[in-house]
Amino acid sequence: MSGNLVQILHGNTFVVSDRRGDIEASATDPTGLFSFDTRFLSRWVLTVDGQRLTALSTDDLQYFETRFFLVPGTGTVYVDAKTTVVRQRAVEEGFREQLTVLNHDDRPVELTIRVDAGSDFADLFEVKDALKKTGAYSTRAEPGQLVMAYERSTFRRTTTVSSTEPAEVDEHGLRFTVRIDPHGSWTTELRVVPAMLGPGGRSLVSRPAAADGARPGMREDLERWLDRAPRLACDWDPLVTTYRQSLVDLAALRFSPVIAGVQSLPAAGLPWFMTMFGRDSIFTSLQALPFVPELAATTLRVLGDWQGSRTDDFRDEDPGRILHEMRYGELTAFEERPHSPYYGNADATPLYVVLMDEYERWTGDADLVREFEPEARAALRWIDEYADLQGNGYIAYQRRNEETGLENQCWKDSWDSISYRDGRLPGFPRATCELQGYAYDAKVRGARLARELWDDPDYADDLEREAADLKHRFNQDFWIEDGQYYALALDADGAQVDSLSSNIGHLLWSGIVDADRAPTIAGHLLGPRLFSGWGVRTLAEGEARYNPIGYHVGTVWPFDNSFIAWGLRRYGFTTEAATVAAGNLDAAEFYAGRLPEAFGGYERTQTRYPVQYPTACSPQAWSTGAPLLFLRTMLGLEPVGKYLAVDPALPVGIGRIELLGIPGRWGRRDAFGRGMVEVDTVPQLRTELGDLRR
Amino acid sequence: MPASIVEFFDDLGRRGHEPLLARVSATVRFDITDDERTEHRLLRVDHGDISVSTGDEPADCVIGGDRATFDAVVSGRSSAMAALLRGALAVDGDPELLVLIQRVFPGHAAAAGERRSS
Repeated sequence: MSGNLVQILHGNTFVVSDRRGDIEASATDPTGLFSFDTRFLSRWVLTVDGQRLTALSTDDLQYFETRFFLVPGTGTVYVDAKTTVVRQRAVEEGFREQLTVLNHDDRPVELTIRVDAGSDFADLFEVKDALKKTGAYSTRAEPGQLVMAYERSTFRRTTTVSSTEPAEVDEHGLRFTVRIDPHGSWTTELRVVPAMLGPGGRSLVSRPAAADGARPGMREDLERWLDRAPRLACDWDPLVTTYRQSLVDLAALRFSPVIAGVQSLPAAGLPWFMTMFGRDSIFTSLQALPFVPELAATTLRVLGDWQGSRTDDFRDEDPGRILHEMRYGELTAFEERPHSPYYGNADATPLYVVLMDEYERWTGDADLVREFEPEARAALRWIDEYADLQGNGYIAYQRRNEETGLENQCWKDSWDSISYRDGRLPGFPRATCELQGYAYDAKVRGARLARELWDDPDYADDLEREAADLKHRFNQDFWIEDGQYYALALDADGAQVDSLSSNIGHLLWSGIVDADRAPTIAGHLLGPRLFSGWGVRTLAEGEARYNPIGYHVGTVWPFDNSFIAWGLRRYGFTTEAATVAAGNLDAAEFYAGRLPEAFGGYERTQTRYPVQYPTACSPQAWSTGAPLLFLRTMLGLEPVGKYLAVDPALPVGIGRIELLGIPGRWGRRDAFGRGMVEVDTVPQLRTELGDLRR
Repeated sequence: MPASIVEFFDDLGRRGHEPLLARVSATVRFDITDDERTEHRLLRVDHGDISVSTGDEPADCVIGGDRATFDAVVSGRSSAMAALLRGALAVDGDPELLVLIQRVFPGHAAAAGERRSS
């Protein structure tokens, strides 16, 4: 998104405007007020005496709040400094905007202040793909408020604009005629409320009880959120900044999906993915477990509730399958898109079991694991009964919805992400390698749950046998002898798709790699073809489709790297894990602590800064979670029975990390890590004024 | 009321136990509107054990809509969630129950019994 745009968000509601606070959306750009995948405001323009304004400054106060300082006039040289306009905007269900006009003159002034408002009620998919609408628009100017509406059969969405000060309302906005005393001010609060209406004009979304107009303590809520998370102390300041930014962004991305009550889980990312994604929610919950374990609990509950129960080709749904993506817009409502929810992914289902086990190991919440035992079992069943599309015992994917379903149902879901060395694309079904790792891990972890929590040792034995067999076969069928790494995938004929890719790092995380091959895999991951200096590339340099700014064919994804580092750590490659962590955390410094979805795969020595991928989403949940997982990896945090084991291995340049109050089944515990190398931690003072280092 | 809806609920009642609802112990009422008349189906679920009646008693979750919508949902032509989003169904009470109950509705455009062999 353009750097000239201002965005504030809260859950899945967000506002994108220009630096004056104005919104003038075209059909295809993602500016406006969005909520539940619908644009509720596409025009929002402030004028004073018919003049547009100029921004003096724009301050981001919180993730949900911005303040714009403006003066009338758009001249580049002279601005009339007798009047200042301040817009302070906070997102909640919609947004509220405190509009203040200051008169700096020693004479009274009369002004006409106008806010133009309009909505195209576009579905986010329409904005993304430039589609046309079929419903009817209407606008009602009522005393004190403007109601804009869009209707298509029973589908009804409205936007209501109102003001605390009296306004003349017409169909295109609100007008205020005001007189301001010398050195006086005038203020009003504008409120924009989006609504999704059901039968009888009632709201479809049950709001939390405090929705009476009072701001539901968002600032306090954020403070509580930050207070509850472990405290980080470190001699490397950028890490502290990054950690705090991660916690704040995770708070911002929390949202309660419709009909999930008031529980919240992370939405995937701004601006296109402010919704529930199975894969993203699971990965983010895993990353955040040592810090905010409650995200994992909600993810397990909501994804469990929505687990597939039937065969539905339109939604690519199977019994036991965990959803891919939920959407709430018009196209989904009329089933022109399958996202109600859409199930087309091949990884979230085994990962659901992985998360459940990891969650219990950290929190000891046996109740949840017992309550969702049927869902976990159904997920494990899906692996064998529904995902084996090639008939060779591996998870593979092929969409059944050929019109609007997803082609690539792994995390690298762009069209060209899975290719042979020579650039050819394999046919379907495809069995990518990391899926087999997840299946292996799900069976191993499922066995532990069966033995220790479900009281079913026979099932545990079965799962362990299946896991061992899978690992054995995988190490034969996916191993590329002449390259000494695992194939990216097996193609429709069961032959190897032979590119070298970051996917092999996920295999370490899952534990499916034979121990004697792990050093070779670690060597590839840190080798010149995959490691850029900032991180591990999605696809190795030298492959035909390699492109340092190709979405899944050469860029570096912090989320990907965080699981690769965890995997390296699992096999004992502590230095290598720390190196991957350090590269990514260095990159974070260039983004003020907020890692983007992806950055370019250019050699670090070549660009000297990490080049952001052009249309990367930011903040994005699993990029936000990456620094958290890097911290866990560097400190070597691992629950062992009722205790938290700490086994730090810090990268060069960090002398000390303290993470205080890590929540878990042990209550709260502190972890301390010291660098293996003595690091100069004295501030850069002028030594000629007295050397403090004695 | 269309035969499809009557049959669907009759069949549900005959199942006795539905494993997909093993976690559910609650009452869910369906209010099916046909012009001026509203008919009811009351599901009592006790750890997956189901009984169906035509009662109009208060329930933990009430799902209301016209018969065309219910006909589409119980025959798999429409998803309950999509119907909710387009305002064709209304939900009162505990919304999580709708998510769980919708598991018993059939899938979209999938012929019964047509399934890849496992």
